[in-house]
Amino acid sequence: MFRLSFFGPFARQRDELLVAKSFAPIPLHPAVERQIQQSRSTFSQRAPRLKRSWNLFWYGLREIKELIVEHILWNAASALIVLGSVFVARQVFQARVGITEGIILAGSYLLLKISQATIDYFNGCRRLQIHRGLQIAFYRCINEKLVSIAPAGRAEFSKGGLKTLIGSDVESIEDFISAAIQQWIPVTVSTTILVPALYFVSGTIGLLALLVVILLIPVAMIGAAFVEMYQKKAQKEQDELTTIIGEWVKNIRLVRYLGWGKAIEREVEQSMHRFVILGSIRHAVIVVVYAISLSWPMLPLLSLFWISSLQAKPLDLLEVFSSFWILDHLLFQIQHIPYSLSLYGSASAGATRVINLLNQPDLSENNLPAPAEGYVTDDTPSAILLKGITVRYGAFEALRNISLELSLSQRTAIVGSVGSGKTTLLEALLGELPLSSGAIDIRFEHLGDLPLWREDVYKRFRSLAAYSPQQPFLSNATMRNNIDLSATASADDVNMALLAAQLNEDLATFPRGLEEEVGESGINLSGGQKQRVSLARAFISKRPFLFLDDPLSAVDPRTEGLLMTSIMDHGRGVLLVSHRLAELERCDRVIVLDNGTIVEDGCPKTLARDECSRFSRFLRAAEAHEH
Amino acid sequence: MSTETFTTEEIAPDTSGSVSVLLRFLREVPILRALTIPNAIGGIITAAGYQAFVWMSGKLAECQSGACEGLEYLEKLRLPLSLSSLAGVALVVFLCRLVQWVVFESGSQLASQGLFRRMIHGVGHVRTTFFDEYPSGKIINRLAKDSDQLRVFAPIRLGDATSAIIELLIVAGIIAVASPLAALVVIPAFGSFLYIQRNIAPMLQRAMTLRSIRFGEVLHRESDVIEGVRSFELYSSLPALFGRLSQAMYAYMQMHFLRGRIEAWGRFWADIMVAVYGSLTLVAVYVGIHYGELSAVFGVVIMTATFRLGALFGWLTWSLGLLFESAGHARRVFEYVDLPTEETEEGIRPPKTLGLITDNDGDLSFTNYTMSYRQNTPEILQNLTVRIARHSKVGLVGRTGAGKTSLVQSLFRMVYVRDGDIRIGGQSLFHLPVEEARSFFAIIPQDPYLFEGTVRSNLDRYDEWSDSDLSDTLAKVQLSLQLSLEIKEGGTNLSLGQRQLLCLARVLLSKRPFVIMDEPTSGVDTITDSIMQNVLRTHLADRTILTIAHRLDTLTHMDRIIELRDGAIARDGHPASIIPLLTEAELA
Repeated sequence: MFRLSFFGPFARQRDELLVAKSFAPIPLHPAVERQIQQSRSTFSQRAPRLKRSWNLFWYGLREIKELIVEHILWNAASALIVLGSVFVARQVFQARVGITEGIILAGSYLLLKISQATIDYFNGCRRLQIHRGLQIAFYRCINEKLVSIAPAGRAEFSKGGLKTLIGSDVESIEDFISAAIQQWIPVTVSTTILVPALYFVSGTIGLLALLVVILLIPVAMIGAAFVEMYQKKAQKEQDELTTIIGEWVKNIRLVRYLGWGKAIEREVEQSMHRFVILGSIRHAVIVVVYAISLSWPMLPLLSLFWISSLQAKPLDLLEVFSSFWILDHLLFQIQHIPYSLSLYGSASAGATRVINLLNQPDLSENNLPAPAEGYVTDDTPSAILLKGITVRYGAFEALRNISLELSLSQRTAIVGSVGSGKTTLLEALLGELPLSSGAIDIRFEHLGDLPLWREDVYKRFRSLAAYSPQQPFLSNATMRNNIDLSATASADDVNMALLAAQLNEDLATFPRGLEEEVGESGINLSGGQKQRVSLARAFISKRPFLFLDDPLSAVDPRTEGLLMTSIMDHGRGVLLVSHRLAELERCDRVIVLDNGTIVEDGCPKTLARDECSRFSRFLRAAEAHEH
Repeated sequence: MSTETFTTEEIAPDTSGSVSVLLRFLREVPILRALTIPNAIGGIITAAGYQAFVWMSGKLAECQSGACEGLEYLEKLRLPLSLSSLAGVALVVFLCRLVQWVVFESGSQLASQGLFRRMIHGVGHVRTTFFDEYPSGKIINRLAKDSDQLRVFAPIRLGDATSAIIELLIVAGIIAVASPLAALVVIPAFGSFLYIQRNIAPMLQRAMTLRSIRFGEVLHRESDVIEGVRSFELYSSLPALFGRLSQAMYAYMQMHFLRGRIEAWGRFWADIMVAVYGSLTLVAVYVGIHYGELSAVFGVVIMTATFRLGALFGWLTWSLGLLFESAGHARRVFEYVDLPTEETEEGIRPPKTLGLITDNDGDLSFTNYTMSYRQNTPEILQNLTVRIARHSKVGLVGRTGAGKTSLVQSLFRMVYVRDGDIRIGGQSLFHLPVEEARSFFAIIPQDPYLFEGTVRSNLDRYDEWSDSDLSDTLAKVQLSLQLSLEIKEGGTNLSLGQRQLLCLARVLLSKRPFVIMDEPTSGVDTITDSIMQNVLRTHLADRTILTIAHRLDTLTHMDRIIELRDGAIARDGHPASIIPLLTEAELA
C-alpha cells in the first residue's frame, strides 16, 4: 500500500523499463513537437541564411521560445518561494509564542518547500526538452541545406567534416545555448526579484555584499581560461595518444609480425604518461577554481560584517542572516555562469562552421534558373546532347571539350582505362557535377532541345533516370530499406528487383533475409553485393533510363551475363560504364574514352572486328588476361 | 579521434556489481586507497569548519548588537571574536578543501597510471584473433576514452560523494544537538533517500543504455542524409529519409526525456523528504528558542544548514549517479587488464617429442598440423604435413579460402592449434616464447603499411642500427629516401612501390631466416617488381622464401610450388609441372 501510493508511478516506470523496454509516451512540449513535425518535411524547406554565430544562437532560441518563456515563469515562482522561505525563517525568531503560530510557520514552510519540489520536478523534465529542441532545430537546418546545396558547395565538405558538424559542432552550440538559458535566466530572474528584498532587509550594505557575490564571475572566468589552456594541451596529447593506439590496434598483426609490440607499447605508455601529467595539472586547476567557488559564500558574509562594522548602526543577527540566505541562493545560481561562458569559445567556432555550410549557394539559386515560360512536365526526353563540355578538378582536366549526342533509346557502353574520364562523363550528364565550360541539352520528343540546367528540365530528366554509382551509397539499415529507399514498393516489385539484380541467392544465405542489417556503409556485404543492391534500387524504380557505373566489376562470368540481360531488359535507354568487356557486344554503341577525350565511337561489333581499333585491343588484352 | 564515423558511447548493459568493481578500483590504485582516511578527515574539517564559521558569524552579529555571551569555547581556543579571526577560519576552510581535493583527486589520477599500463599490456598480449572479434574503434575507445573517463572522474566522484556524505552527517549532527526530536527524523530521512537511490539507479542505467542505442539510430539516419541524400533525392525518396530520421529522433527523445523524468522524480521525493525534515527542524528551532533551550545564534546556524540541505542531497545524488557511470568505465578497463595472454589461449601444446623428425637442418616442417582461428570456429588447415627445405624458394597458390593466409598466421602463432606441431629443425615453435618464435619470420605484407614517424623509425624501431647501415640497406633496394623523412600514417606520402621497397629493406635488415612474401594482387609497377626480384635472387639467396603468389611470372622463378585446396595440399611439385595446371582462380 505504502509502496503503491508513495512510489506508485515510480514502480510502474521501473517495471516498464526493466522488463518491457516500452513505456507510455512522454508528451513533448509544443515547441519540440513542432520541431519534430517540421523535421519530417525538411526537404521542402529552405535553410536560413545567417551571418554571425550570434545569429545562429538567436535562431535556436527563437525556435524554442515558448520553452524559454515557460522557463522564466518557473524561475520567477522559484525565486518567490525562496523569498517566502526566508520570511518564514525570520518569523521563527520573531513570532509570538504559541501552538497556532508554530503550526502556521511549519505548515507554510512545508507548503513552500513542496511547491518548490513540484516546480523543480516540472522544470527538471522540461530542461532536457530545451536541449533536444535545440538539437533537432539545428539538425533540421543543416539537413535542409544538405538537400538543397549545389554540387560545387557540396564538394567543399568532406563526409567526415559533415559528421563532425552534425556531431560535435551542433553539440557544442546546443550545450552553450542551453547552459545559457538554464543559468542566465535563473540568475536574471532571481536577481530581479531578490535584490529589492535584499535592500529591504539590509539596505545598501546588502547591495554591496551582492557585488562581492558577483565578483565570483570574473574570478572564475580567469580560472576557466587557465582550465581551457590546459584543456587544449591535454586534448592535443590525447589526439596523439589516440593516433598511436589507433595505429597499433588497427595493425596489430603487422606489429606482431615485426616484433615491434614492446616498442609500441612503450610509446603508448609514454604518450599516456604525458597525457596523464597534463590531465592531472588541468584537473588541479579545475579543483582550485571549484574550491574557490564553493568557499565563496563565506565572502559575502565577511563583507556584510566588514561594511556593517564601518557603519554607525551595525546589522543585527537576523538582518545579517536574512541577507546571507538571500545572497547564498543567488550565489548558488551565479556559480554556474562562468561554466556557461567557458562554453562560448567552442560553440562560436562550431557555429561559424555551421553558418559556412548554411551560406553555400543552393542548387536552385543560380545553377537552376526557372524557365522563362512553360514548364516541362510530361514530355519524354529522347537524347542527351553534350556541347563542348569540359570538367576540371583543380588543374586536372577530367573531360576535355566533349561533344556528343547520346540517344536515350539505345544501349551505350563507355569504356576506357582508369582515369580516362568515364565516371566524370556519367556524373556530368546526370547533373551531378557542375561543368567548367560547355553545355548539356536534353532533347524532348515534342519540345525540342532544352538546357539540362534549368529547373523543370533538370527535375523532369532526373525523375526518369536511375543511377548506380561506382561506389554506391548504403544505408546502415536492412536490405529491404536499402533496396526500396522510398519504402513504398510492393512485395512483388521487391522480388522482381531482387531477381533482376541476381540478389536472391545472396539473400538465401542471410539468416534474416530481406531484414538482414547491412551494417555501416554496407560493411556486411561484399563489393559485388553492394553493386547489386544499387542495381536493384535502379530496377525497383522502374525508370526507363539506366545510368550504371561499373556494375559488373565484382561478379563471376555467369552472373555477369545474367545481369547484362536484366539491364538490357529493364532499360529503354542504358548508359553503361564498364571495365568488363565480355558482354559489351550486346550494346548498340560503344564509346572509348582516353585522357578525357573520345577516341572511338561506334558499333561494338564493328569495332571488335577492326584489329587496329582501341576497343578490339582492349578486348584482346582482357582475353589474354583471362587465359 | 576519427571523424569518419560517428562514435556512440559504449555502455555496459549489465549494471550489477558496480560496487565491487569500484572497490577494486580503490584497491588497485594505491594512493586512492591510502588517501581514503585522510580525505575523510579533510572533509570533516572542511564541513565542521564551515559550520563553525557560520556560528562565529552569528556570535559576531550578536556581539555587534551588544549581547556578547557564551564565548567560552573561543576563549579556550584563544580565538578572539573579531572579523579577522572570522576571515582566518574562512581561509582555513578554503585551504583545507583545496588541499584535500588537489591531493586526493590529482594524486589518484597520477597514481592510476599503473592500472593503465597493465591495461595496455593486457591488450598487447592478448590472442591476435581478439582484434578480429571486436571493431578497432571499440578497442581504441576503451584504451583512450574509458581509461580517461575512469581516471578523471572516478576520483572526483568518490571525493564528491565522500564530501557530501560527511557534510550531511555533520549537518544532521548539529541539528541533533539542537533537538533530539529532529535527530530522530534523520533516520527515516536517510532511509528513504537510500530507498529512492536504490530504485532509481538501475532504471537510470537502463534508460541510458537504451538512450545510447537510440541515439546511434539517429546518427545512422544522419549518415544517410550526409552520404545518401543525392540517392534519395534522385529516387524521389526524401519523405522516407526524413520520416525515418524524425522517427528515430522521436524515439531517442522519448528515452532521453524518460531518463530526465526518472531523475526529476527521484529528486522530487528527495526534496519532499528534505521539506518534511526541514519543517520539523523548524518546529524544533521555534520551540527551542521560545523556551530558552536554544540560543538564537544556534537557531540561525541550524536554519542556515536546513536551507542547504536540499542542495546537499542534490550533490550526493548527483555524485552517486555519476559514480555508477564510472563503475561502467572501470569494468571495461578491468576487462582489458584481465585479458588472458595469447599463449594461454593457443590450443593444445604439442608434446616435446612428436613424430620422428631428423634434426639439425633448419628445415621448416608441419606435422599433422590442424588449426582453426578460434576455439569455436571451423578447422581450416587439416592434418597438414609438409617439409620446406632450408633456403628453398616456395610458391604458395590456391583459391581464396584455401588456407594460404592461415598457413602464414600459423607460423606467427596467431591461431588456435588443434593438433600437430610446427618445427624449425628439431625445435618446436610452440616450446619457445611467442616473440622468439615469431622472430624466425620476416614478412612483406600484401598491403605495405608504414607507421607514422620517419623512414628510420619504420626500418629500425628499436634503434639497433647505425645510420650508415640503414642507408646501405636502402641503397640495396635502390631507394633514395632520407632517413629523417617524415612518414604519414599508413605511408600515404610515398608511392606503393616505395612502400614495398621499404618493407623489403626492413626484411634485409632483420636477418630473419624465413621470408614470407604476400604478393599484391595488382598495382605493382614493373620497376619495383624487377628490383624486388633482383634483391630476392641476390641478397636473400641464403634465406628460405615463402611466396603467396598471384602472378604466373613470379612462379616460374620458384624451386617448388605448393597448391592448397580446402586446407590441405592439393598439388606439390616443380613449377614446370604445376604451372600448366593452374587457372586464374588458383592465383586469386
